[in-house]
Parts: sequence; structure tokens; C-alpha cells
Amino acid sequence: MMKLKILVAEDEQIALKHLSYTLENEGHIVTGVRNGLDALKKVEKEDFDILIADIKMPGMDGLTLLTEVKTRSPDIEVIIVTGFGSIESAVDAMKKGAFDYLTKPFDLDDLTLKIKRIQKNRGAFNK
Amino acid sequence: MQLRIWHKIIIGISIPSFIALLGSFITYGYIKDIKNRQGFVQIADDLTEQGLEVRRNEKNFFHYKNAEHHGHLRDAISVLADSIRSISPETIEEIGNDKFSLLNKTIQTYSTLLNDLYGNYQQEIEVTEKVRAEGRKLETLATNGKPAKELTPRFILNLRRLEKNYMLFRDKKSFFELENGLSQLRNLSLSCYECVSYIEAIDNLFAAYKKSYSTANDLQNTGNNIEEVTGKIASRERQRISSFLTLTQRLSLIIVALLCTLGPLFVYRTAAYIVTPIKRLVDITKKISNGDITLRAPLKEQDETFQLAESFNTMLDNLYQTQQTLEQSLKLLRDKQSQLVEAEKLAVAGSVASGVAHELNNPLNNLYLAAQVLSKEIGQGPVSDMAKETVRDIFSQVLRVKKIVNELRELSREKKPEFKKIYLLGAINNALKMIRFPEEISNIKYNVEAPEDVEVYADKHQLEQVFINLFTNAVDAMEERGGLLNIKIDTVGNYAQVKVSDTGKGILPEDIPKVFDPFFTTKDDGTGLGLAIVNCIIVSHKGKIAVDSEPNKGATFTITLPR
Repeated sequence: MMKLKILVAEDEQIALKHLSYTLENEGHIVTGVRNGLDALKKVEKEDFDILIADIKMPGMDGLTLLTEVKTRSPDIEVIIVTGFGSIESAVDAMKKGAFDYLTKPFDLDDLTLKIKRIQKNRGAFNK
Repeated sequence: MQLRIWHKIIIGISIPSFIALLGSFITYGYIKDIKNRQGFVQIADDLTEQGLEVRRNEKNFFHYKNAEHHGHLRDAISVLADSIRSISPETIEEIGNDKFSLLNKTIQTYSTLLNDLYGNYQQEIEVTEKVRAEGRKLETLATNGKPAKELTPRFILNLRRLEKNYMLFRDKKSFFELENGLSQLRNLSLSCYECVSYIEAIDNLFAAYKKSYSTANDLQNTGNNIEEVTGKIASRERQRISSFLTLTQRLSLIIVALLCTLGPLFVYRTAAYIVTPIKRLVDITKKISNGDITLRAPLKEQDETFQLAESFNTMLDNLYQTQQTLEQSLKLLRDKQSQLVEAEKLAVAGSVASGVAHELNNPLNNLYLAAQVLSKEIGQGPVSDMAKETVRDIFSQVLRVKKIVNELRELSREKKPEFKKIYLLGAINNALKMIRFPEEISNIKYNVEAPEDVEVYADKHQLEQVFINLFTNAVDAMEERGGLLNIKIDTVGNYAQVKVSDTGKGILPEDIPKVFDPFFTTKDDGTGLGLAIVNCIIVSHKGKIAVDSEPNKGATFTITLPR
């Protein structure tokens, strides 16, 4: 299984902690930030494979971050985590280039599945 | 009808005016009459004056007994007669034919008598001459030769003296004295021829004097008559004037009295007639302004005031209508307002629910993630069964909260439903796909009875949600023993009917009215929102839902939706 560099942008500390823990347990390298601006700075400095971003964050919201990140590093796969009933924003995110979306509260297994899909694509691509 | 008030006014003014006018005409007529009568009085006075002139001349004639005064008297009587002739026949008619014919006759008589008297007086002169002549003869005889012894000059002279006295005085005394003397002479008459002549002459004198005396008397009487008649005419005319004046005076009094009473009466009645309806309207207006808007003006007179009252009443009717409409509108407004308030309360509750759900989302997510991680960590390590069980409890409760939050979200969903024509069967089948049939017991079977596929006018997502909730409830009810979930589609008129029945544990009779209440549940892990959501959706689709159940025999939910 490929190791991926994952950037998690989530303002809820507990959620960030558990997400990072779970992903690290699966062998990925995880960086965590708590607001959108920090996430953008990180993307500008380093390369990441995946960005998991909450749609509502201080500093910069998820959709704006998505657009900004995609202009800087188009290869990053972005998974948007939406809150409540905002299917429209999820669709919007997909249009703006997100790979997929998750609705809070979500199953970690679902996240794992989506990451596996990215890995598959990467693997295929890389080959 | 238009002229009624005018009629009354005209009558009201006319009658007193008419009376006044009539009075004036009559008075004018009388006064004209009086003026005429004054003319008559003048005529009568003239006649009287002329009559008096006749009497004056008459007296003179009696005194002088000569042609001159006879002439004057004749002229005076002519003047009177001419005066009468010069009066117009109409005037004579007015004054009185009888009076004038009498007057004329009297004047005739007078003229005749006058002529006679004049003749008598002429005769008197003649006879007097004869007597004197014979007397002188006798005197001569007495002085010269004596026919008789007694025929002395003294006797004769005495006789002549008596004769002169009689001629002078013409009274009874002188008459008797002469008659005496004459009787003495009569005794001697046989022998004295001259005595006889003398005696004859004296006798003639007596006769002549008697005659003229009688005629003069008659003339005088006739003259009196003339005076009387003319006097009567004058006085009568004056009388007539006087009575006319009295009549006019009385008439004027009557007219004035009538006007004084009728005038104000008519004015009052006419004014009252106009004022009364107006006053009535004013009264009604006052009463209405005090609150009683159902009052109407009475329609009494058939004239302009009728129209006025009618219009007034119509206006009041309209006003009343408007008032009613306003009241209704007000009531409607109030109803809508309370509905709005209710809706707003619901909206607030909804937004609170929504807000709560929203706020809960993050902690919930955190909990869920933590629970997942914990579960994994525990699952692998050597911990007590209690610890493992506790983790499972935490998990299940988090899931329960997740369910509640989801259902709360569903309930306060602000997304507008999109109504389209949807095939019922499709929605039902989609819902069935989403149901988790518990693996422990596969004794739950389902059956769909649809003689035809029916289209309903609905929001796809919401319709599916309804069936998901109903089917989930049915499955939960049959969890212990298994059973059959039966779904039947029907058409009833313009509606589609779906019967969802299960053979599960059913609903207690006392719970049946509460099943659709939010947060009412008979399940341990129930949220109580499932059927509330179903009810909400059905109502917003303008449909109906009903439930029928018997404990331990199952429940049937009947949904009716417009096609």
C-alpha cells in the first residue's frame, strides 16, 4: 500500500486528532491544520497527495481553499467534508474539482474507502 | 311624485292668498258701489234742494198770488221735472223706479194744482172786484134812496167793513161776522135788487175763497209729498252707503281674522311638512351615531323626501354591508395572523431545531470519530468485557443521537419540495431498497400489490422518505416474530391510495391518536419523529393518512394522495 501525504484541515480539535490518528494507523503521513489559511500556506510549502478539508473553517472556507489549492497544485485530490444538509455545496465542490465528499458525521470506513480509491487511481496513473 | 312638496307649498301659500285676494275683490266691488251710491246721494240731494226751492216759491205764490210768482213757481217745478228727466234710466233703476214714478206723478199733480190755483186766484180777483162794485152800489143806494128802513148807511158801511175784514183776514171770525151781516141783508133781499146782487157776489166770494183755499191746501200737501219723496230718496241712498260701509267693515274684519288664523296655520303646516321628514332623518342619524346601525328611515310621504329617505336607507345598507365586510375581513385577518404566529412559532421551533441540530453536528462528529477509534483500539486489546460492552453502548448511543439529529434535520428541512408526477410503484420500490432487513430474522417478507401503476403529484425524495419511515416501522414491529409487510396500491376517484400493513405487534388503542405526535415513540431507541415527518410530508402534499391497528395483530397505514 502506498504511503500518501495527507493534509487535514479541521477546526474541531478532537475530530482532527482522531482523523490524524486513524490515517496514520493506516500508514499515511498526516499533517493537521486548524484553519484554511494555514492549509494554504502548507500547500504552498510542501507537496501533498490528499487534502481533507472541512467546508466551514475560520480563515478560509473549504470551497475557496479548494479553488486556491487546485490552482497551486492541481494534482492534489481534495475530499470536502460537509456539515449539514449542504448537498448543493457538495455538488459545487465536485464541480470545482473535489474528488469526493463526506457528510458529517461520517464513518471512518467510508473515508478509508475513498482514500483507497485515490490510491488505486494513483497506482494506475503511476503505472 | 316629484311635485308633491311643491304642491303642498303652493297650496299652503295659495289658500291664504286666495282668501286675501277674494276679500280684496269683494271690498273693491263694494267700494265701487259706494262711489256710485255717492253719486246717487248727490242726485237725491239736488232733487231735495230743487224741491225746497219749489216750496219757497210756493210760499211766495201763496203770499203774492200774482203772475210773477206763479211764473217762478212754475219754473221751479220745471227745474225739478227736468232734473228728474236728465237722470239716466240705469240710475233710476238703481235708486228705485217706484220712487221716481211716484215723484213724477206727484209733480204732475202739483203742476195741475198750481194751474188750478192760479185760475182760482184769477177768479178771486174777479169776484173781489164784483163784490166791491156791488158794495159800492149798495153804498150809493144806502146813501141816496132807501129801499128799506133797516138799510141804513151805517149798516151798509158796517157790512162793507166786515167785507173788507173778511177779504183781509179770511178767517172764521170775520167769515161769521160777514155771514151774520149778510143774513140780515138777506131778510131784506125781497125788496132790494142791489142787495141780492151784493149777496150773490159775496156768496161767490165765499165760494171762490173756499175753492182756492182747498186747492192751496192740496197744492201744499202735494208740495209736502214732493219734499217727502225726495227726502226719502236721499235718506235711502245714504242708508245704502252706510250699510255698504258697515258690510265692508265686517267683511274686512272677517278676512283679517281668517288670514290671521289660516295664514300662520298654513305656513306652519307647510313648513312642518318639509321639516318633519328632515327632522326624522336627523333623529335617525343621531340614533345611528349612538350605535344602532340597523335603524332605517321610515318611508312615509310619497314625494322628494321619499327619495331622500330611500337614498339614505340605501346608503345605510351599504354602510352596514361595508361594516359586515370589514368585520369579516378583520376576523379573517385575525385568523391569518394567528396562523402566521403559529407558523412563525413552528418556524422558530424549526429553526431552533435546525440550529440545535446544526450545533450538535460538530460535537456529534467528534463523538462518532472518537467512538470509532475507541472501538477499534478496544477491539484488539486485552480489556474487560465490561469495557468492550461500554464501548458498544457508547457507539449505539452516538448512533442514536446521529439518528435524532438526522431526523431533526429532516423535520426542519427548509428545502422546498419539488412537485412532479411520480409513479408510486417506483417510489415504493426505491424505499424498499433502502430498508435494512435485519439479518437475524429473515422471516420478514414483503409483498407489493399494484393492479396498475398510479401516478401521484409529489416530491420524489419526500415520498420515498414517507415509505422508508413506514416500512422501517413495520419491520421494527415485526422484528421479534417476523411477518408480512403488505403494500397495496389503489385508486379512489381522483386520489391514489396506498395501504401499508404489517403483522407485527400493533399499536395500543390509547396510543393510536398519538402516533403522529412528534417525539412520541414506543421503541426504546425510537426518536418519535418518523411518523411526525410522514404526517408533515403527507399534509404538505394535500393528502391524508390514517392508521388502524389491533394489538398483536398488526397495523395498517392508509395514505391518500392526489393524482
